[in-house]
Amino acid sequence: MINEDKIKTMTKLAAFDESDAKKYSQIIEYYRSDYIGKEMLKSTLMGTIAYVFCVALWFFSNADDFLKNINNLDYMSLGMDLLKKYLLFLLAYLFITYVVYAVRYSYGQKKVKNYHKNIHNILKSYDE
Amino acid sequence: MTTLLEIKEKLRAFYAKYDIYIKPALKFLLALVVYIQINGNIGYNSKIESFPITLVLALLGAILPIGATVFIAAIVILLHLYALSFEVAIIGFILFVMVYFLYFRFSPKKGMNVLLMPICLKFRVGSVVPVTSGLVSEWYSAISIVSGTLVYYFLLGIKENASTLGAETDEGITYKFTAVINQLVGNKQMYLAMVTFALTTLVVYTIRKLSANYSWYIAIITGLLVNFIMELGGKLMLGISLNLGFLLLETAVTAIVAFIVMFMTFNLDYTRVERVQFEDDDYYYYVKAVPKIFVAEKEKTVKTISTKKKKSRSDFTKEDFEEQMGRNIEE
Repeated sequence: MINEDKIKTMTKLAAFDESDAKKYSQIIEYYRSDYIGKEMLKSTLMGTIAYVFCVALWFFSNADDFLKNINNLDYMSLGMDLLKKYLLFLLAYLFITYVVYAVRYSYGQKKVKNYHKNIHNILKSYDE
Repeated sequence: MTTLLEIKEKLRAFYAKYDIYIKPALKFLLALVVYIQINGNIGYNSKIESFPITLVLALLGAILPIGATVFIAAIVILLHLYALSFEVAIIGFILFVMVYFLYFRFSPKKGMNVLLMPICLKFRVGSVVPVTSGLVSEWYSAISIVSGTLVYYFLLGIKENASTLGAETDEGITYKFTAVINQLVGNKQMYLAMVTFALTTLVVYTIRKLSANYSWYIAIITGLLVNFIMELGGKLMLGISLNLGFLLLETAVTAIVAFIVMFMTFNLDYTRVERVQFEDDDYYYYVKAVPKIFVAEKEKTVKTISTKKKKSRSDFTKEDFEEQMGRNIEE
């Protein structure tokens, strides 16, 4: 005789094992601060590379003007301006990273908690 | 209405039974349309443009994840751009890298919109993707929609100026860089499209998630209105050419597609089907689970205020006695 409740619980367990176990187990291995910190470090690197590419694009689009005025440019103020924009961009990007990964960590914690609860229920049903 | 519901259930049953064949077929079709559109519009590399290669790439798209199709499409585009001009290919590479770093880092599996947006914009029904994404996806699908719009206008600019960009020039090494970047920087139509589609997606998503009656209907209608007004108003204000007939047709087509999507998927999320196998002592199970789409219910808190009853001697139970004895021993 098929036990429907058992099938439902085991289906949820198997579905988690199949698709989410690897992703969320890796998340839960870290403390919340370590996980978010790790992702923010990655974002800092990727954001910096993306910003450098943006600056390169901007340079290429104005390269003729740069080359003409190469001796007259105020490199200090240009550098400060680029640095300010970089810091603002990085701040916004890191804020988005923090929000996304904080939500993902909470969600992963809940999923793993439910998974353990379901395992407990299945083991209990075997003992009965 | 009963006939429609019956058709819906039959279609659902058909999809549920044969989805292991239908999904790869749809992925193959999407990949084929993407590569045909790329080759048809910017097919400057005659070796990749050939139909056998397109077919092989489309077959790969059928078996690989959507992210792989996005990656292969990006490579094909870059090869075509390289055949046109080295400078254009460099700019294209930088653009794709930035899109990857800024969006795909967070959602590597959600590349579908980046493929669908250029196709829908090519067929002048760009608002289909924002409205349907708002219904079935999360809020951050707006970013992939914006990325897809950016890629479309970038490639459109390349196509319209191909003769200039592909020709040898004495203007200086930066002329082509400047010409290509100006396709993006000064493109008011692109900015209007990006803002309109992002806002439409977010509006539809926000209203759809509300725990109100008919939230999905309200979401679709509001999304269509937002899209229509922003496109009409934006184009008039910015002095961009406007074809009202096409805009109305786009809105009508989007409405039809959105209501069909709502009708078919309102209860079940077929994009997250799980197939699992397991066994116990008595049976081996092959299970297919289709998750439901839930609307969060409002949390109810019930507060009861009652006076504390003093226990009489007759209410004193065995547990109360043991508890008190335990406390006395501890003291």
